[in-house]
Order: sequence, then C-alpha cells, then structure tokens
Amino acid sequence: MQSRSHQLLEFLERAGPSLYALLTRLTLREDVAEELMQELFIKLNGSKNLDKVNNLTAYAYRAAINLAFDWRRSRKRTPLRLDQVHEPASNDNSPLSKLIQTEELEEILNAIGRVNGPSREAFVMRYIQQQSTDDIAEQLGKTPHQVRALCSRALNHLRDVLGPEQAQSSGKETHNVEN
Amino acid sequence: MKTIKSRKITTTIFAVLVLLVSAPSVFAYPPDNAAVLYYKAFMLYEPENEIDLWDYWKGNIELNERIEEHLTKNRRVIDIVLNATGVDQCDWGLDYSQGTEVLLPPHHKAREIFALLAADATMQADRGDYRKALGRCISIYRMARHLNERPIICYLVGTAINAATHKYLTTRFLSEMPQDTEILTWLRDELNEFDKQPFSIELVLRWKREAGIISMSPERISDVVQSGLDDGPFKEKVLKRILAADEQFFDRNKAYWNKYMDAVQTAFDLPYPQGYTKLKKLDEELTKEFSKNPDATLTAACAPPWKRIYVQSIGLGTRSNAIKTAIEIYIIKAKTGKLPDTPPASLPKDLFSGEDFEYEKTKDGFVLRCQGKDLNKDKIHQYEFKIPK
Amino acid sequence: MSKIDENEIRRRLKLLSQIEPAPEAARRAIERVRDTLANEEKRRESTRMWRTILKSPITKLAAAAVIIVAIGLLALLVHRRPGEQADTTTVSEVTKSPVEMMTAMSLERAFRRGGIEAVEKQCKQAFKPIGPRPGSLSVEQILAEFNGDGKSSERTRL
Repeated sequence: MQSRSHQLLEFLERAGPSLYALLTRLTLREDVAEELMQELFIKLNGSKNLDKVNNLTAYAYRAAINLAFDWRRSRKRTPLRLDQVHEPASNDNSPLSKLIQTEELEEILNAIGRVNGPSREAFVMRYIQQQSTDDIAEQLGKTPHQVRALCSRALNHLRDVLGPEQAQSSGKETHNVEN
Repeated sequence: MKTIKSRKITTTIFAVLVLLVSAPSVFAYPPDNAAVLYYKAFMLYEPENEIDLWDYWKGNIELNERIEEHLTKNRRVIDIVLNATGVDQCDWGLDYSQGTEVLLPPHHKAREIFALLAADATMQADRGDYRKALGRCISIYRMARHLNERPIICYLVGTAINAATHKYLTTRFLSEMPQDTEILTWLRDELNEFDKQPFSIELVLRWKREAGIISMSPERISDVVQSGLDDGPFKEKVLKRILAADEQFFDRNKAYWNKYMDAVQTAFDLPYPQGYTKLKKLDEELTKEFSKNPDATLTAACAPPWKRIYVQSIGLGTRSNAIKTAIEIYIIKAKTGKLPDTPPASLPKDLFSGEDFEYEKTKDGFVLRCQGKDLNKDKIHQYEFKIPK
Repeated sequence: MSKIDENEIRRRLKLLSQIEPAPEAARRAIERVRDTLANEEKRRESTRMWRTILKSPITKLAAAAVIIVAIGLLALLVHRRPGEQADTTTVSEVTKSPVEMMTAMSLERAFRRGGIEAVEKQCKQAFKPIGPRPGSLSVEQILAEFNGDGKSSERTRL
C-alpha cells in the first residue's frame, strides 16, 4: 500500500496538471474539476485492480473522461448563471457573448456525452486533448486505424446530433472572427 | 515716529500682498489633485437599481424619461467628474509601503460613475451632438488613465473602462455621425495626446515586483497569504512552509521572485505570440516547481494570472490602434467624399501580429481585421466601422 | 450536412482543447489530492495498527476503558454552555472586515476567481453600510451627536 501511494503521488506530479485541464475542459467548471480530480484519485487509490493495470496514464485518463461525463449526465440542466462563466469578465467581452460561447461548448460536450465508450474516449483524446492517433492507439490497446475509425464514428454522431436542423433551430450564427 | 509709520505701511502692504497671493489658491477650483474630486463624486453618486444605464449605453434600449431624469438629477456629479478628468495630477493617496496589502480606492464606484458618463455620452449622441459625445469619451479615457495606479486591480478597472468606451461608445459614434473634418481632426489630436502619457502596464509590472518583495517578509507574509489565497490545501501548504521558515527561506524566495518577475517583464516586451507562449510556460513551470522547490513557495502564492492580464492588455492596445486607424480613414472620407482604396501608410499596428490591419471596404463602411490570431480565444479579431447613409 | 457545419464542430472542439484552467486553481486541486492521498495513507496505517492491537484480549479490556472515559468526556463537552465551546472556526472563515476586503492582494484573489465583476462585488460588500442609514441628517441631529446625546446618536449612526 505504501508503494501504491508513492506511485500515485509520482503520477500526480507527472500527470496532475494535464488531468485537471482535461476535467476542466469537459466540465467547463474549475470547481467541479477539482472535486472530480479528488474523486478520481480516491478511486485509483482504492482500486483493487490498479496493480494489474499496465498503463496507468491511459487508465486514469479513461476514468477521468468517464467521471466527467457521468457528472454531466447526473446534473440537472439548469440555465447558466453569470457567475458560472469563468472567463474574466471585462466589458470587452460582454457577459452575454461569454454566455453564448459557453452554451455552444455545453452543447457540443453534451453531444459527445451521448457517444458510446471507446469511441468517446478516443474522440476526447484526439480532439480535446489533441493527442496523436498513434499515442491513443497505444493507450487504448488498438491500432491507429481502429482509433481513426472510432473517432470518425464519434464525429458522425456529432454531425447527426448537431446537424443543420439543430444549427438552424438554435438561431445562432458563429464566425471565426469577432464581429 | 516716521520710521514707525513707514513700518506700519510696509506691514500692511505685505499683509495685503500675502492675502492677494494666497487668495486664488484658497478658492482654487478644481483642486490640483483629481482624486479629491473623484472621491467626492463616489460619495455623492447613488445609482438606482431600476434604471438600467448599462443597457442604454450598450445600445440595447432606447433613451427614456427615467434615464433622462436620472442624468439630470446627477448633473452635478457628472460635472465634478468632468472637472476631475481635466486635472493632470491624480494621487489616490495609496500607502505603497504596505506592499500588496495596500488599501485600494472603491473601484465599484468608479464603474458606476463610468456608467453614468457613458449614458450621458450616449444621450448627447442621440441628440445629435457628436462633438460633446466624443468629448465625454475623451473624459472617460482620462478617467481610466487616472484610475491606472500601480496595483494590478487599478490597471484592470481602467482597462475594462477603456475597452467598453472603445467598443460601445467611440466606435458607435464614429459609425453614426456625419463625417466632419473638424471634429475628426480634433478627436485624432486628443487621442494622440494620450500617447505622451499612455495607458500602460509598465508601472504595474514594476510595482508588483517591489510589492512582492515588501510582502515577502516574516512580519507580513502570513497576512498576505491569508487575504490573497482561497482556503484549501494549497494555502495550508504555503502557511506550513512559512511557519517552518528561517531567514534564508525568505531570501531565497525573494531571489526566486526577482528571477520570475524578470521573465514576466521580458515576456510582456516580446511580440504577442512569443509573449503569450512564454507566459503560459511560466505558469506551468511555477505549478510544477511549487511542489518540489520551497524557494518557489511565495512566488506561487503571490503571482497574479499574468497570461490573462497580458491578453487583455494586447486586446485593448489593438482596439485603440484600430480606432486611430479608422479615424484617419474617416478623415479621408470627409475630405474626398469616398473611402480610400488603401489606408494611408504608417498607421498604428495590430498588436496580435505586429503588422498593419487588413482593410476591407464593405457595403456599410469598412472593416479593420487583425492579421494575427488571439491565441486565447482562437480568433481573428475584426473591427467594423460604418458610414451613415 | 454542409462543410460549414463540420467546420463549426471542429471550431468548438478546438476552443475546448484550448481551455486552460487558472494556474492557481490547478495548484490548489493538485495540493488537495496530495493531501488526500497522504491522509488516506495515515488513516490506513492507523486502521492497521488498531486491528493489531484489538486482536489481543488484554488490549480489548484497555480499549473498553478508554471508550468509557471518552464517553464521559463527551458528556462533559455536551453540557458546556455555548460560550464555552471550543472555537473551531479558522481565521479565514471569520467575516472579513472592509479593510481586509479592500487590500490589493484580496482584490486580486477576487479577480482570479471571477474577473472584474467579482472585484466589484467585493468592493460593494466592503462599503456596504452597517445597519439602517437615515435618508437625511438634520443639523440638530449632527449637533446632538457631537454633544453625546445617546438617543440621537442611536438614530444618526451611519
């Protein structure tokens, strides 16, 4: 058990900032990410199978992704309040525009949440963590080709969910430049 | 007898002269310190919740009777602030010897006063008096410069006020008003005056270094950590290390802070993409260093979010430059009757790229587009200016 | 599905990938996990120790005695008057004074948490008048205040 704690502490030093960033990206809330980070390490510490895990980093990332989407599913959909928008509030970037941007990100995260297990993990690692397909393949124990197929399946799902009807009904226009 | 008489006359003349000389200073208004007037306005102004000035000056609602009444009722306050903005010196009376524990002025009142002035400017524009409306904008810019004292918060309040004025007032008035060479040239000259004493972060960076050193003393540091950090294990660990600290701990921490601040200042002087990357790296390194290097303890506790502040300063500078560029284009339009095909040479740059703005004529007016991306938002900013029909 | 829509999906994904938590928040979260892991280890060690002790019949008797004494102490604590209860609040949990709320460092903390709006909120809180404030103050009331008239003093307290 002594070695388990040391192993996790070392892992925390190495992967902590990146895991916390991932949780923040998936929850859009620093406070929630902090709670989930706690939960993740408590689970890892208490896991009976951790000693049998070959790749701790991959295991932890998968667990973090699942925890974040479990949280998204479990919370009730309540309208966003201004104090939940975490970018610094300057008048240059009005609370309303931040709110719209956060809503857009919430929308896409909720759509990712509806993708099934391995596809979702591969997709998050590829598009949100910006990892290479080779790295993801190694972590998931699959070939790069399979990873690409999983990502493609997830992207198709997003297209279905956030397709043209969806975009039109939201009534929001987005451009890659500030208006 | 003669001597006594002449002495009396001399004394009387002297007394009269003293009175004459001192009289103007006794009754001088405005005083030579703008802060006195701002504090006075802060005390006198009471915003009314049910009147949303913010919606009005942002263009979300039309002018109504209640807003007009509110502005009339607070005309004296507006005048006091306008007088203050005309004074060169502004000393808020801050005790900098307290380091980061210096007490700051009531900034929420500065934002309320700003909303009052912004609404007044908008009302002047709605009435067609664009000279007065833009004059209010210049006053607000001056107020923002007065607010920009050494502490970071003062700089950020000034930045927010400047940014809102650029976006919602100056740009809008320029887009709505008929092109008048006289007003435009006057505005350009007024804005150029600011370059002599620009709204800058330099003073903030210099002072933050000094304030950090003042605060990193055994007598002060606990108070600084208690007030500056949220409760939690990070704070507890910092306090634990401070409790176990000896004199060398503080010396080594100060040395670390100086080195860190050197790197921060260098990053702020770099072109945007490099500066942004360097500050991001500094943040990450500090997080890692904190866990293994006790010398990084007090720097980790005192370091503000520099990257965020840097992005805001670049964004503000770029928008200011876009407005200056736009004024030159409006002047050409006023003189020739049409928009130029290319903007004049040697205009202020887009700070995201260090290059000229991309200029494009549109159906309604013209657009100035940055050539470099805002890495924080993954966006190319563009600023739209209209020509009234 | 048109190309623009897919671009939009990719743009949002890129935005997500570029979200960076505040460094101080990351430090805080990591420190919290570090503490939890350390405490968890201590707790486990202590549980292991107690298990070993309680296996012996002699220590079982001693443990029973300790429990009885502990119950007695608890009863004493329960019967303490409220004023006598141990103060468990930490310094930072105590309501902050306006002076503490208006320091540069304290306002920087507010900014890190919620930007300029949080700074504004904290300033407002610091300057919030304590107790009811009269709409106007007459000269008589001010004079009474200076003369130390207790009743007037109560009325005119700002």
